[in-house]
Amino acid sequence: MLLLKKSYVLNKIIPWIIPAILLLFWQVATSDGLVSNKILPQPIKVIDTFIKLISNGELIRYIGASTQRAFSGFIIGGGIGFLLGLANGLSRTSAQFLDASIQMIRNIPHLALIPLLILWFGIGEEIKLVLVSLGVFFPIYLNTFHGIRRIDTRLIEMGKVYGLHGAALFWSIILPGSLSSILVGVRYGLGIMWLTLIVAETVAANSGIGYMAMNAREFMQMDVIVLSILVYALLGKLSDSIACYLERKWLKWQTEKL
Amino acid sequence: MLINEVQEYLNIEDVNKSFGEMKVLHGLNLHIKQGEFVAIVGRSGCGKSTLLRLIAGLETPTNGSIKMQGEELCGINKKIRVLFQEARLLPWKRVIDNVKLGMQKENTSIAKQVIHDVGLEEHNDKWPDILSGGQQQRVALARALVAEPEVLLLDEPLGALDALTRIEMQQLIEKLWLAKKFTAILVTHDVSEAVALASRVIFIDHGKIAMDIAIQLSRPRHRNNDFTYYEKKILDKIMGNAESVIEDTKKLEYAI
Repeated sequence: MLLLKKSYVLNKIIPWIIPAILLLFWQVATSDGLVSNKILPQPIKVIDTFIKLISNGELIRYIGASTQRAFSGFIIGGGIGFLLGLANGLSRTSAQFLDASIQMIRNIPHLALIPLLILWFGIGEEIKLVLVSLGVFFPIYLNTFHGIRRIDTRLIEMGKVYGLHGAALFWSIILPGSLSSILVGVRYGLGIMWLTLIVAETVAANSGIGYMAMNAREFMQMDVIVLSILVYALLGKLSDSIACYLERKWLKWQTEKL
Repeated sequence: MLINEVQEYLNIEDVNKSFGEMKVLHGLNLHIKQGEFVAIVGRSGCGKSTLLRLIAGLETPTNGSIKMQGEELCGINKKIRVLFQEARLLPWKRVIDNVKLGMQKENTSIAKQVIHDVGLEEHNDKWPDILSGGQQQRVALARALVAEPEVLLLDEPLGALDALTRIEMQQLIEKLWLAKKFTAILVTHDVSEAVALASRVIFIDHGKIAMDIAIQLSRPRHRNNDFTYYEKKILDKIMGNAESVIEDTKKLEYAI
């Protein structure tokens, strides 16, 4: 029992060893002048700035603005992707009609559209929503579509023998059968969501983490720049953890051995 | 003729089925009494599974009719349930919820009773993926029987199981058939399985019935001389041509 506990604690610690060493190395290198503070600020200085920006409410406001943009775009793009994936997965005609066009558009990197989108939408909120939606749309669309197509047709036939059709067939077989694939799309989409938002906010914004970083660059505030990068990392990790949690919750049957 | 039609329960009359150019069943006639256990044997591709899928309503006949108690069967019928070759359980539903799928109105105590009948009462709340192949097929059997169907169609349901599990499953199917008195139609390529379970064995060859034989053995069945007699008789019919070829070559060997 004691052995089991020990290995549990050890397992929790192991992933943190390398980050801890890097952090230590960073602090040592910057404090004894090996690396100039103009190149890289001291970690302690970053923490100091973090506390300062939290207490004057600026950081919370910026994180709020960024998160709101990110998830609005995710809901719009992901929602459309899910619905189209559903339609094309369930209906051959719909897939024949739409899939080729979607695949064509997919091959354009959405960030390449920025100049065009600035001319269309200006530099307000719309362009960020459009960019994030566009980025999130494709992974969710593709994974929903393939998730439904990959369902064992024998299970659907079985469902029909037992009188399932329409909504009942969807809720008992089609949705649970494609859920693991859809969640892969969600996880992937969340990554693209933050990536797109960073680019969009550095191009044009007057609030948000990206704006904070670009603004800090103007005044050479290295600590703020590094802090915004760390905040992005944290937000990315957080949303990935949420996706992982949903996978564990909804796909119990894949992991639980009971 | 008229009297005969009233007596019969399931009437398959002059049924043809073709897939494109390929003719699978040619004018097949079969009459099944209520409560009968019919086994359909034949080689792969002889049309036996197609016949079962026609009765299940998963395919429609090209022409001819399938009537149940005088009424034409069209599409899927609640009174008829199928046990497929694979268990086809939903991996995201626990055993008991998979069984409940077979019910019109969910009723936990009936579901539990049927799971008990197939001997899985300890596995109610498990995920199907962790059960063995035989146990999964038992869950599928419980799901098929939970709504007390009148007809149970079995499409080589034991083909993928190991020999010992197969015998256990045969005994279970026989026990449940005796208790619940449904009409059973079993498609199999295993003649000994057909003789062990059925009260009547039908051999289909090239889309037609080539043999229709009643198995007059008492139940539970033992693999004794009488059993072997039926088994050999059916096998001889199936192997018909092949065997005469073997005899010819044997004679030749002796001549040398």
